[in-house]
Amino acid sequence: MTLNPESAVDSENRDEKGRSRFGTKKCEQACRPVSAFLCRRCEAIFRRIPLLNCDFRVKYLSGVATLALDNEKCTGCGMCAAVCPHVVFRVENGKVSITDRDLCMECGACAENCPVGAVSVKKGVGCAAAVINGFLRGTEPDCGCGGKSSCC
Amino acid sequence: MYDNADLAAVRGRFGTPAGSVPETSPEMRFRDTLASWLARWGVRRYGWSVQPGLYALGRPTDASPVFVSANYKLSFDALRASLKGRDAWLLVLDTKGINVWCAAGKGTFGTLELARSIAETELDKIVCHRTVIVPQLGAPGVSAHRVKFYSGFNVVYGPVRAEDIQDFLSSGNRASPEMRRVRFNFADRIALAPLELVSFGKYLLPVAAALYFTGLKADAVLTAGALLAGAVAVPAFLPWLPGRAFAVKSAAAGGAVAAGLALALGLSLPGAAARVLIYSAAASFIGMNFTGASTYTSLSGVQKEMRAALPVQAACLLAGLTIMLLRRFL
Repeated sequence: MTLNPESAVDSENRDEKGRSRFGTKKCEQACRPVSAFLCRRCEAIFRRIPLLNCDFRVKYLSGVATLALDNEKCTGCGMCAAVCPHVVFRVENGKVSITDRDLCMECGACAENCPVGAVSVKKGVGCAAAVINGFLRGTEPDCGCGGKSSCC
Repeated sequence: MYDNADLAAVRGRFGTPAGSVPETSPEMRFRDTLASWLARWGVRRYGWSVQPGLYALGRPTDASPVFVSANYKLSFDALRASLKGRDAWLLVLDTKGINVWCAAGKGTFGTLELARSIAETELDKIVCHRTVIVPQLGAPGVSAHRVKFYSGFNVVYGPVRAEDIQDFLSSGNRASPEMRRVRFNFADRIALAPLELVSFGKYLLPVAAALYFTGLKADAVLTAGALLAGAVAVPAFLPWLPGRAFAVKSAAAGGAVAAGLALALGLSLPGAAARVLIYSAAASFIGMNFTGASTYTSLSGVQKEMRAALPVQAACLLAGLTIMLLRRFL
């Protein structure tokens, strides 16, 4: 399931001895909220609650991502790993491997920035409104979204 | 209300070898906070664009770093506010007033627009280095090697969050793995709730009012409850709701709210069952749309989820309405 605090905490949220960083000062520093919503006071309150502030890696549906890596073409430059927002790639000994395909959100950054075309993914926005729009207009999924800070 | 110079907090002109550019400030004024608040509530949804082009921040020289941003006020503000105490050039691309990540997904924050802006602002005459710092979330639209090919400038990807820029600069333009990862904390999620509330509330609140005045007071309350469940409870409690699909998570939130309200309103068992079916389906549909605001859903996943969820939502709605009709006429 989505949130079993023990299993959802990945290695990054553990210290060298494998102890969880939840609720520790280190965690608080690592998990600063991005923006004030209502007022600074609300933000300060959120900041003090480690459970709300700490980042759980929630996974989406498994076995659906279209991400593929061609090991023959890969030169191990690591650009894909640098641009991936979900740490899907690992660079080891000059070779890139995929850690967990289910973490991929198909943003397309890796494929766009691979200089040798070794990464491929069907790029798209994971947005239900976009899928509905596309279906109604008979086009590809397209959200007509504007000012939302992290829409699509 | 806000003019062009005001949106970008311009406080003067700054002379460069390629003509003068607007000078902006890292200070966040009350007007800026107000603007972000209004934008979050969906006010003037497409009216928060900053004039594209090059801006000076502090007292930049030909060696100062160049940061690329989108011409959406919240993106621009996040960047300039995080550069307090630094001298820098800000290169604002024309993304039609849309934030970096969304615009990169559509390609308006893209390779060609970046190369065009570099050429148009004559950046090569203004700085002696050949590096632009692009926010990492711009990477879906920007191809670093092609930008190099078109403009001669190297793209260095900065951190995901503007607030990490000071650490990024201090460590010699290196982003730590933690800076490279996008998050979806409580504060991030709850900031998106107002827009969800506004976009569905404009349809559902009139419906609730109509139900109230036609005597269906329980259903008016339940409609508002389903709205709050789908638009506020789903963002707030996302990691704790059961299931992976947003439709399932939202149906759970909606079902719980509807059951609680039915109990509080003292509805009979068949009436309550009908309401749970109807309003959990409604909340499920509302919450499913939060996939678009979330930071980790893929298109393939959303398509799979919707193919399964839409028929079930429709069936639950129909089943609930059938129970209510049968009770009325039998």
